[in-house]
Amino acid sequence: MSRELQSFDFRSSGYERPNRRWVCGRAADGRPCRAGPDHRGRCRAEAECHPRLEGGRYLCTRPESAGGSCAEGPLPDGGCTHRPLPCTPVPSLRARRGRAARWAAVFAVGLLALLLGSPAGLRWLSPGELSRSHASIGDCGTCHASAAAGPVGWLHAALVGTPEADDPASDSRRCLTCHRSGSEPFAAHGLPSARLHPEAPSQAAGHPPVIITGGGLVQVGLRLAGRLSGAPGGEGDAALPCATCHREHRGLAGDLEAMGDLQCQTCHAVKFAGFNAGHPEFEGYPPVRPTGILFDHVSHMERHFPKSDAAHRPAQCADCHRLDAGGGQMLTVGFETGCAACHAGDVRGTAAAGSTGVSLFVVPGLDLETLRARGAAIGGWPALSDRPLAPFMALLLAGDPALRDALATFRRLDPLDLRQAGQSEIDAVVAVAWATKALLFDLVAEGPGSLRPRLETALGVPIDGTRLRALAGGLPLATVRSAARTWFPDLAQEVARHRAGLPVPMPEAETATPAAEQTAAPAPDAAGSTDLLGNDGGGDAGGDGGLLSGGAPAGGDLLSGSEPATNDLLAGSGSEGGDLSGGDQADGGGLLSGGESGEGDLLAAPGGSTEPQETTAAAPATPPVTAELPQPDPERWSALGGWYGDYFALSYRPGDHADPFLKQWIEVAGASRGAPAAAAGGEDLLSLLTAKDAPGRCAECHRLVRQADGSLVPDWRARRPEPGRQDFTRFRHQPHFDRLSGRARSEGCLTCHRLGRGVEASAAPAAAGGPDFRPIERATCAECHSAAAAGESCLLCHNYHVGPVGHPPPETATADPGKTAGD
Amino acid sequence: MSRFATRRLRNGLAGLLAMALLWTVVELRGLTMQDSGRLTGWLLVAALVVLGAYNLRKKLPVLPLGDSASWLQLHLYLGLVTALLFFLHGGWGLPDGPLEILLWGLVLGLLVTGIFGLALSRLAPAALTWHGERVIHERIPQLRRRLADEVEELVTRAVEETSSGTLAGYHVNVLKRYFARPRHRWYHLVRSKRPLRHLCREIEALKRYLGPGDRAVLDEIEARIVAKDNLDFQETWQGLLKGWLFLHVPLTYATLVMVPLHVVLAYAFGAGRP
Repeated sequence: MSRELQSFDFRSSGYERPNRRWVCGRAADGRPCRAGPDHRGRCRAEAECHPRLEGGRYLCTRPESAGGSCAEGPLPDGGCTHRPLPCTPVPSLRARRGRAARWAAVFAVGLLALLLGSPAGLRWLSPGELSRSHASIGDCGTCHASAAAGPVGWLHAALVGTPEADDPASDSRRCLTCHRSGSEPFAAHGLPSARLHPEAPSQAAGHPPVIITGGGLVQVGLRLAGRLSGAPGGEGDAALPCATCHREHRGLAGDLEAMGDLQCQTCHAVKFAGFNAGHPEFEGYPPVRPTGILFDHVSHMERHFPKSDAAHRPAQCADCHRLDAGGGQMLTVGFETGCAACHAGDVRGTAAAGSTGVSLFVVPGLDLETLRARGAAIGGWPALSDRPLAPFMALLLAGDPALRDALATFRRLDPLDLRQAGQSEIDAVVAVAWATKALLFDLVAEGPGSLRPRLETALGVPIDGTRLRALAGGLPLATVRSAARTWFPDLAQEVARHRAGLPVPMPEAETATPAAEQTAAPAPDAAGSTDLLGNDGGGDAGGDGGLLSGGAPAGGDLLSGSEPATNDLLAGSGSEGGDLSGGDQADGGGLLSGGESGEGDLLAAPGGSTEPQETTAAAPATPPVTAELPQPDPERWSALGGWYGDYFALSYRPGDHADPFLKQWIEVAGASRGAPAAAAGGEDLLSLLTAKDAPGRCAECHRLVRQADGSLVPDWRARRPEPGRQDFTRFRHQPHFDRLSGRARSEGCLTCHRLGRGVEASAAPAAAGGPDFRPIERATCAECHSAAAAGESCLLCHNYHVGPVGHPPPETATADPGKTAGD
Repeated sequence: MSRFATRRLRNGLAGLLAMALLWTVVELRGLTMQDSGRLTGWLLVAALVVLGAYNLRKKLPVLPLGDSASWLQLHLYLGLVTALLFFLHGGWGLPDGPLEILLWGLVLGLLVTGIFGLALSRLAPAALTWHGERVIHERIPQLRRRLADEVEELVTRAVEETSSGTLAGYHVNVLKRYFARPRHRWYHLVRSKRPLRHLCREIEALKRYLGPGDRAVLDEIEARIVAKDNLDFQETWQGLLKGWLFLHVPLTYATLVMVPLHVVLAYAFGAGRP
């Protein structure tokens, strides 16, 4: 059978209305009533037709599509004979679809209400998990300023705006709670724009020339991007919020630093497709950075190493350089390991031609005859001193503001020839002389602590206890007291009289310099100074020295035997023989001398006269033994470092590398350069300590870095990685060592670091930290760094954030001010 | 070129052009580290509103809002552009946040059901035409009932005439159930005629046990079985054509509810996005 089921003839076909909301409940059974339900879903199955009254009779009006007029016809009252069975109308397909849609909307609203109202509502609303580094942040308000506002606040922020929501950097500022990002965190590279423009002209800053190198569609894309959007960022301190590059809420494994190479070039005038496609050639890479250690690789490797002992010179680069813990930088191994073999003697002064110590306290030589003739009242003064006023001493005296003019006058004079000096100049010399005595007296009386106010005044820098301790260098009391007694036997009385305003005339010429006019202070550390026969007598014996002292500086000792005892009663060395007991090196005329010659000396031990023989007659008949304490050169005696008195000066000899005494004096002298209140003197001191042949030779290897305030700070350490700082370029040696294990092994470090003066050699000599190596060329890196090999992404070698970056230490209060101990 | 092909070419090119433009803008903005989230987000919102307005247009046929065919074309091609816009906005992967995942699922569901509906609207008419007489969906129950009544009447008449119980038994056991409701939907979905062939083989087998009169009746019954099979096919495929909207439209409503919250959160918490 092939027949059409449907009929579209209006006589036999009903009119479908699928957009009605209700359908007959019997439609699914295939027997819907013709009327169908009303629009409210009520059944209207009352009749199959509404009979029509015509000529006094009711006529059936059932349409032909429903079977036509029925045979029974209407009832007499006009009612229909056929009453269809009532049904329960059902929603139409369309209505059911609408109902499903509404339910879906209601479900969505309910779900949102449930989520927003739940305690973990914010977690549900979070756009994703935080990355690992931020995963511990539990509170949205830590990073989002609007978090605390709640749903109403969010709506307000979205519709009307709030200061926090409208400020592009409001959230980014919260990043800075934990992160440092340069001096201007939201500027390009965290740097002031003025610092960037000369190097990388920015489109945003109105630098139109765009140079595009390389090839391909990249050029077109970058050009279009620049035209369309320009460089990112706006003006002010919110130019580049953190979220410009760092996208959070991308899951635990989210990469916060994901960045395309081309994005880096958005702001850069020179645009290129890749490291091997247009990247500019390196210009002076690695950059010449002044290092703390002045080391000339070229001269060492070409001149010094070949001439040095093979056991001392380094065999390879790694003998002097070590990788840092992070595998990034190559560090130097330090003085003891890398330099001491050749340079330890320079520091200790063992190979020095001149003096190896620095004189802190000096008795300056004066023209005593002129002073005496001019009636200068300076008391006793060593006649043999011809020392100049050393920088240390000048600095200490400059610490007295009242003395500055006199000191300035004194420094212009030749204090050893004052014959032409005017009265004011004589007065200045007198003032300096008394200041010298007072300084020594105070040093004995009050210790090195008395130097602090003088130093602070003279240097113009604060000196705390730690620094003062280092500056004093462990100056021993015995050495100072011994020196005071030797140089100024009547120091206490003279200073007391002077401070009391009493005149202290100079002694007469023959007695002007007491017997103690020795040339040296006691032995370096005055060990054994309190012995009865010691050098200084410890001050207890009531005299000016040990009773039978035999050391060199035993000035005024009764039986002293050192060379210069010219006026001692029983002095016996080196004198002109006029003394009662002289005899050590004289011609034997000393009465009680016991030196080598010893002929006829009254108390001489060897080969003496009959008197001793009588004495020894009762003693065993053993020959007498001649023995004396050795008299070493104090400076040489102090080869291991420390204080020694020698020739009217208290001097210090550095013992080893990094001597704290010298370090501290260089530091304070350098700091005084930037101190506006500093007195003159620091400059000379700095020159003294940093001279090429200065004790310790500190400045031969350590650079003085000039600071913004003019002060000079010594750079004691070789360059070290600074964990909190980043440069534009980064390089890690460790991975490159792995690469060098193959092809270029024979060249090793020289694969990249080729010895020779760099391009800036003329501008920055090696001695000043200039380049010892030729700049590295891009092609050297490009041998490995390509897209197919070691990679060539921008961030492989470049940092965006430069300067101080990282995490500042947390601000943790040690005590809650709102709480007391008893709480 | 036919009018239909011309329209498809024109609209397709316009859609592709819009997609290319969008992709280019977003990529270029990405190059300059400009966040395109808000741009694509608002475009997405606008697209969703326009797409949803098609439903409104169908509900308000009296308003002069253009003909429905044009709206459908707009709906189709804008929907395809929106699919790209959606991925440009939210990325190509699954988002991480619960709300974002929910929204992503809703929009993706919208896109998938939309594309499914588009595919159906292209496949179904051909299938309906290929299979047999095309009937109005709402009439199918009545037509099925009519066929069932006719079959019952044929069997009753045959029983009265031949007093054979074979045909009656077959009617009671097989045909009555077959005509009572739509059958073999899954087979019709894959356009399989296996159930029909099975029935026809049964009828052929049954003829051996019937007399000539009953065989003639059985031939007529077989014709109605074929017609019923076509009704089932029509109902299955037309049901699909109407049924996919049961997913598409509710998903639209749910999405339109979720989107404002997403926008509010994006603005409230999006400070710092360039």
